[in-house]
Amino acid sequence: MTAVLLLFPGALGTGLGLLLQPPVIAAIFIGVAIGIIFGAIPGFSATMTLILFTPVTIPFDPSVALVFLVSAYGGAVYAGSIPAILINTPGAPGSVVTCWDGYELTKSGRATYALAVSAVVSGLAGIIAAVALLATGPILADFALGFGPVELFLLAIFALTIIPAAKGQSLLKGLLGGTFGLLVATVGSDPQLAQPRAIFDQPLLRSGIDFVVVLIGLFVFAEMIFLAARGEILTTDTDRSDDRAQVFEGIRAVIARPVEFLRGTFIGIFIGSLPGAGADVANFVAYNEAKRWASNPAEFGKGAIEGIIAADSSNNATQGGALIPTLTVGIPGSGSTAALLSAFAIHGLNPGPGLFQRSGVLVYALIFSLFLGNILILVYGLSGAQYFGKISRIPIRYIIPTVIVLAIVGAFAVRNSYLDIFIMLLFGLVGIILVISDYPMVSVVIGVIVGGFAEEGFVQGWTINQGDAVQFLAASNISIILLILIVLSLVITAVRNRQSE
Amino acid sequence: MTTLSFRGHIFKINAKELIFPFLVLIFCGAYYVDTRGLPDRSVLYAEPILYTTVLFALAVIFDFGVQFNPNGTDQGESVSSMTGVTTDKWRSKNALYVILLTSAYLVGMRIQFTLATFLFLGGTLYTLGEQNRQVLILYSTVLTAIIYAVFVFWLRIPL
Repeated sequence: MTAVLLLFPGALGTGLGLLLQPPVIAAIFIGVAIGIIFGAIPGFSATMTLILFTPVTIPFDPSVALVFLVSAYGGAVYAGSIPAILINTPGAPGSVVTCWDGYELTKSGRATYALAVSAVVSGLAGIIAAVALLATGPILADFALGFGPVELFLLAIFALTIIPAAKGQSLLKGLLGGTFGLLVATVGSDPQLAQPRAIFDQPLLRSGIDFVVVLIGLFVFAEMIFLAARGEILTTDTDRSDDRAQVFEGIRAVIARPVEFLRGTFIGIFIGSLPGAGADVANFVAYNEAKRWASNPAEFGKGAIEGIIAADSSNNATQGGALIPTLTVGIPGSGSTAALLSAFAIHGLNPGPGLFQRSGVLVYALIFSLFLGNILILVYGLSGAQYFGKISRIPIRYIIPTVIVLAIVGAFAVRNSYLDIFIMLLFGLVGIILVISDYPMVSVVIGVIVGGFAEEGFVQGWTINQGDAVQFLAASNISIILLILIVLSLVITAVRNRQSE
Repeated sequence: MTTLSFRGHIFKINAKELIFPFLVLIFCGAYYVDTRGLPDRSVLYAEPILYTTVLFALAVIFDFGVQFNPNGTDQGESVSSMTGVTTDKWRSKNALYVILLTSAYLVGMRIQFTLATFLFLGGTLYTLGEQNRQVLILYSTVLTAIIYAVFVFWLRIPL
């Protein structure tokens, strides 16, 4: 901490000062609570929580609004494990693995114990991830300042090629989704001559398709249709003891397993920092690693506490990990951080190279809020274990119409246009098709998000290098490294795809 | 999976895998038609992306959507297997009803947002299985009031 303070004394101090203002502190407390409440609703992910609450934050000061959203993000990522443990239904894709051992413990009357373990590892992993973000974010953002237009273009392409590798899905489908996203991002006036491209006589489309609208369609509307198709989630009241002793037993269980906890946390930070690969990938990897190294692998899936520790530590560590590429190069590490990126844009914060120089105070305040938010997760998680069951049992039929109306109003609010609602619904239907056909949905989203700076980078680089492709691709050492990474990513994924066939 | 036979060759078509690439191709076609008259500099980046997208869409179609002579040249396969598409169906009609209700809501909200919201909330909740009339009215009224208060009254969104 001292070393970091020496490196960035002014912005860090002012960031802390900003955080100590009463409205900002209130934003953290309320944000984490709202994140937990909404995240604990089955099927209501952190991404959806952020997307739906972003319009509500518009009237507030950016510091209050963004601290609120970052806190809600932390709370919602953690809370996905609550319904996973209590009713065997993950609140978000990142909590799927938590079901395997968490629900087994609930069935044997040890839900409070499982919830306590989940709260402790989630809070602590989130704190470590926030420290990792604080330590690496400024360095990476500073390094990214050396990126010219070609490097930024290649970075965008690299982000798209790595998604199918990280998700373990088809390379071809990932690339199709990614290039489709890039193409969607070109709709509107071109940056050179301001000629309208593919606007189909819709003047509003001159300013392009807003990626917030695409996000709402893909992540919110499509999800609601799937929930409607799935119908009510049938839950049974299990024998749950609210014994306080189980809370302390849960704390002791985590303290006794530091290696399992740290392994899961670092896996979460690393995987979270890869573009497009979020908690849904991290917790599978962490769980498998925990099982591989365990002395009792046969117990996994039957209520092994090591399984919950691995799943939830990695799940929550992705919070800070996913913010590393989001803040430093403007490429979101997950669907949730893509939603955060849209909120940043709405509130005038432009992530990317040089962010810490431009908006250091606010960014440090956000990182500190993530740190404090995770302490609150510990407090809320341990003290509220017995009340979470009620949230997780809210019937889905009340959620679906509510969220659809909020999604429609949210899409309209982006530019006060009905056209955006239709675009949102169109992408909602595309989202349904993507899921049914097993496409990595995040490829499309990241394609749309990086499309702007990919085009800018390509056009500038191509012009500077006078249309010489070799000179363009070998513009610098960084661009050569990125090119090698792209080729490696493509080859490795293609080989893996072949092997899985 | 639909099986087609042509001059002794068998094609297995997976309709589920064809939907997205075909939609992409339609979009690409429309994009091409709309931008073909533009100066080269306007499509310097967009054009290569467009063609790459078309290539990937075609590759997905041939890799996942169509299998040519699957299992070798199994030409003796019974015509009875040509039974049409057997892709996964919705487990519930609810999803379709929700899409239809949403479409109706979009039309309705342009006429009268508050009334359309009230009807959509109640209608969807009823479709999804809520039968209690009091709950339906209470839920729709309270939520419509909250949405109106937050978005129209407080955030001044011109709905």
